[in-house]
Amino acid sequence: MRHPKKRLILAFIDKELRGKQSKKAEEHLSSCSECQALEKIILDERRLVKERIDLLTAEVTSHIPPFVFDKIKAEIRGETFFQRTILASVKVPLVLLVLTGAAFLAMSILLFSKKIEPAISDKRYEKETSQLTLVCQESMTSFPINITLTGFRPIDNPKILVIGRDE
Amino acid sequence: MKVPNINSWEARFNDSYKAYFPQIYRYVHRLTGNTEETEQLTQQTFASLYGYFLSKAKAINPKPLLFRIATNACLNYLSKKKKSEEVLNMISVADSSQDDPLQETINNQRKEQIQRGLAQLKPRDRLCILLYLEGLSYSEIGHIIKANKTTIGKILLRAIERLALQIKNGDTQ
Repeated sequence: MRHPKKRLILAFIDKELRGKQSKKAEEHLSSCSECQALEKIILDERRLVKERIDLLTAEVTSHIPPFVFDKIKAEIRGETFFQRTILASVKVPLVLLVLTGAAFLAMSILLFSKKIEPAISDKRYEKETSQLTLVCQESMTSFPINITLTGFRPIDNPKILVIGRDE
Repeated sequence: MKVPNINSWEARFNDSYKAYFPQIYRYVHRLTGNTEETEQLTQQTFASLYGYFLSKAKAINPKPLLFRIATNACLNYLSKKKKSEEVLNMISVADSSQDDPLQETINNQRKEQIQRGLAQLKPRDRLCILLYLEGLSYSEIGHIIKANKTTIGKILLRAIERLALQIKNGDTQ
C-alpha cells in the first residue's frame, strides 16, 4: 500500500483536494491506521499553532470602529464622485471654459473702460488759428485777418472743427 | 463613466466590512505589530475595497481581495519603514487583561514563544501561515504570495510542523 504524502493529508484535511485525488485520499485514510494517526498528529499540530497565534491578537479585535470608517467612506465617496464622475469627464472643458471666461472678462473690462471714457475728451479740443482774407471788391484791396477758433474735432471726421460747442 | 448603483454594492460593502474587519485587523496587527498602524492600514484596506466596489462591484470576491490588499499595504508599510525584518520579527503581544495573574503569566510566555517561532520563519512562510489561519484557501494564498497550490501546501506543512515543535519544546521546558 502506498501512503499519501504528508502535505496531501493536510490538503485533504483542508478540503483542498478535488475529484479523484480527494476520493483516493479518503479511501486510503479510512483504511490505513498509520495515516489516520498521522492525520490526527497534523490536526493536533494545526490546532495548537492556531490557538497560540490567536493568543497574539485575541484582545485587539473585539471592536469594530464604524465611526472612523464612515468618515473615511464619506471622504472617499466625495473624492471618487468628484474625481471619477466629474473631473474625469469635464476637467479639460472646465479648464478651457474658465480660461475663456477669464479672457472674455479681461477684454470686456478693457473695452468697457474705453467706452465709459467721455466721448469728448479734453485732448480732442483744439485751438486753431486761421487766416482769413477780406477783399474789397471796389479797390481790390485785400486785408488779412487772423482769427483764432476754438472747437473740437470728432474722431470719425477730423477734418471738421466744430466751433462754439461748449462742453 | 458608468458608476454602479450605490445602494446595491454599498450594502454588500457594509456586509463585507462587518464580516471581515476583525480578520483583517488581526492579520494586519500580526504583521505590523503596531496597534496604531494597524488601525490605519485596516482602514486603508477597506478604503481600497470601497474603491473596487465602486468601479467593478459585480466581479468582487471581497475576502481574498481584502487579504491581498492588506498584505500589500503591510509590506509597503514595512518596506517604507525600512525595518521589515525587525518589525516582522517583533510580532505584537497584545495587552492582556486577564484577571488571573498565573494565567496571564502563562499566556504571556506562550505569546512570546509563538512570537519567537513566527520570527524564525521565512517572511513568505510567515505570511502563508497567517493567511491560512485566517481561513484563506490555498489558491487564495497562492494568489497573494504568488505561488502555486502545491507550494502552498508544502510551506504550510513545514510551518505548522516547525511551530508545533517549538511550542511543544517550550511547554516541556
